[in-house]
Amino acid sequence: MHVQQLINEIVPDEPDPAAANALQEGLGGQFGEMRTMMQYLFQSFNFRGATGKPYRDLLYGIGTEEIGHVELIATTISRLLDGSPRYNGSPTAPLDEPAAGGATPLSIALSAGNIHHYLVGAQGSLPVDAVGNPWSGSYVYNSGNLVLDLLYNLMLESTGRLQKCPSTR
Amino acid sequence: MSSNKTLRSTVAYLIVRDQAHENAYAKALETLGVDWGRTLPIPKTDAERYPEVKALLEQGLATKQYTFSVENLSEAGKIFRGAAPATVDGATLSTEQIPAGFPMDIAVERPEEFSPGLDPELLALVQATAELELEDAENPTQNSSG
Repeated sequence: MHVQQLINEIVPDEPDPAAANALQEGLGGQFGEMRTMMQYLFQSFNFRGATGKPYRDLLYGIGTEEIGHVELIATTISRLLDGSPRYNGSPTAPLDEPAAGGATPLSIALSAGNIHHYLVGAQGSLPVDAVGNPWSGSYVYNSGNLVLDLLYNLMLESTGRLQKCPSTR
Repeated sequence: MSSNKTLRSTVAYLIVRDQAHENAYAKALETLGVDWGRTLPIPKTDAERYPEVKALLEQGLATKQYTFSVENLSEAGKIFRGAAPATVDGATLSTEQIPAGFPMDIAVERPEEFSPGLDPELLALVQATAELELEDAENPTQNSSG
């Protein structure tokens, strides 16, 4: 079931394509939310041994939460990109005539952030990391050894947290 | 690096939830007899120096785990309970079904991102072609030259 609410509040501020692109690492990077989501869910789907059910349920709960994190960070990126071209066409003819001396829509795409946010997407988030590498299912690791998987997940969360700290300084 | 409030609110929240998940995996390892702190030393980041992170930590968000179990069949609370792992001394772990939600609004239209669409003449041509193809499909022999 999907609840039409976000897991945390997105505080409105100025558009910021560079900040949006930094957040792409947290969404589609090797230690990003898409990876944690898929890793914990696959570990849950593949879980063996009924006596270990509390461990499977823990993985399921965290994996499910990560879906909400993917939703939150992707929406945040979208909000940071929204309106970032600073383009205000007239209300009646919102797209200026080419070469008519008006503003050029999306001209910011040539100098800011990730050009794919404007060329491939429509001022929206993409399933890629901060330098544009597409998210890869090869990031997902499920050894079948519970201790190894838990240790690996602990490393994943710690690294994810460490990577986020520079962007708030 | 970024003073942007939109970025900071989301990053602060995710930092604190990362800590909650670290607690979950560290606690699970402890129940299996693993001394995770010796196996995997984790540097202290002092993320609480960011005011947004501090506020969320004070709400206890780093020691809470959600089950998202609609029928309440999750047994995650058998692991995620009691004293929190070494990094949060004195705190107690607890589970809840779901977190409180926040409004999810839909962004405004951005006309500069969309092509203006087909002009009327091209639209009429597309329609005429489609009708011709439909007629051909319904009566295969009528318009067929071969």
